[in-house]
Amino acid sequence: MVKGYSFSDGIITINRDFTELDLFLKKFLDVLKEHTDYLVVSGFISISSGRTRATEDIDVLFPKLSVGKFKLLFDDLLDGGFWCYQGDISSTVYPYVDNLNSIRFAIKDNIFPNIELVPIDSSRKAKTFEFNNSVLMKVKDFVFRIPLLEFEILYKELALKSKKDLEDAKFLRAFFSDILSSQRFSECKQVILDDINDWRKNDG
Amino acid sequence: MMGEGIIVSNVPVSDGDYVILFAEKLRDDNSYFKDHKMIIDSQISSSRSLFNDKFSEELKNGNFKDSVRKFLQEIGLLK
Repeated sequence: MVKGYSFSDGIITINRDFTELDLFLKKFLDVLKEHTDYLVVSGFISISSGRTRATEDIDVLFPKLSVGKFKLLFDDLLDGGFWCYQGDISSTVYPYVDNLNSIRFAIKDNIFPNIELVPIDSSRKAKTFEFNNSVLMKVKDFVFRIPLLEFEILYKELALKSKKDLEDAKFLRAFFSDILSSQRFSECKQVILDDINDWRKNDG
Repeated sequence: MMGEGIIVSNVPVSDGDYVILFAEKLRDDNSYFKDHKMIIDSQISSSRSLFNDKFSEELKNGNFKDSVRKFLQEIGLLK
């Protein structure tokens, strides 16, 4: 009997075949990686680990780029067979990035699935922590960067808190029970609680 | 139910119980990923064909992106 995953040299290898979602993400990251760092976050981590639920998008963080660097990325994504919900030319779309708003890409002539590409900068402390403390996940020969599992779980439990997110967290806690670290949970919890407190202060 | 001669096991009750049960099965035996793949691929395929059917005319006449953007604005996915 083969285990669902293995962990060595800092890489979490999920022992399964590709799904359509993996192939879609791989095609996108093949372009994105040529231009910038990235982090795959949120629901796809749970689904990639075996959680069986519907999704239409995959969330990917990236550091906010200059207008020139973004144009090169945008044009390469279009050449790679993607289209952007927000516009057909980079100058139309860049203001979203500049204002730290998400943009979405799908395969040409399709709507779903799509990539929600989320720009971040140092003003987003929790996102910056998440981005700078990552691990690698591997499915067959496809390797991609994800947050610490402890961060992912706690963010769902403490910040997002929808039924879907709480079930994702339960899944991740059970599936990765052998490799989760109480010390990392403590470190991540403080960062997320500080972030939640910042939101509350800013809201009112 | 507790009773003489009845074995009580940890039977899942809530959705969350089933999520945990499946995670534990999958952790110990990757053959369950066959079901996972079938369901994920099926959902993506259904979603894709549903929306391609909805916009099939626009795909033919070249108005796909404009129509989709209007639809996405209506459902709040595009501002």
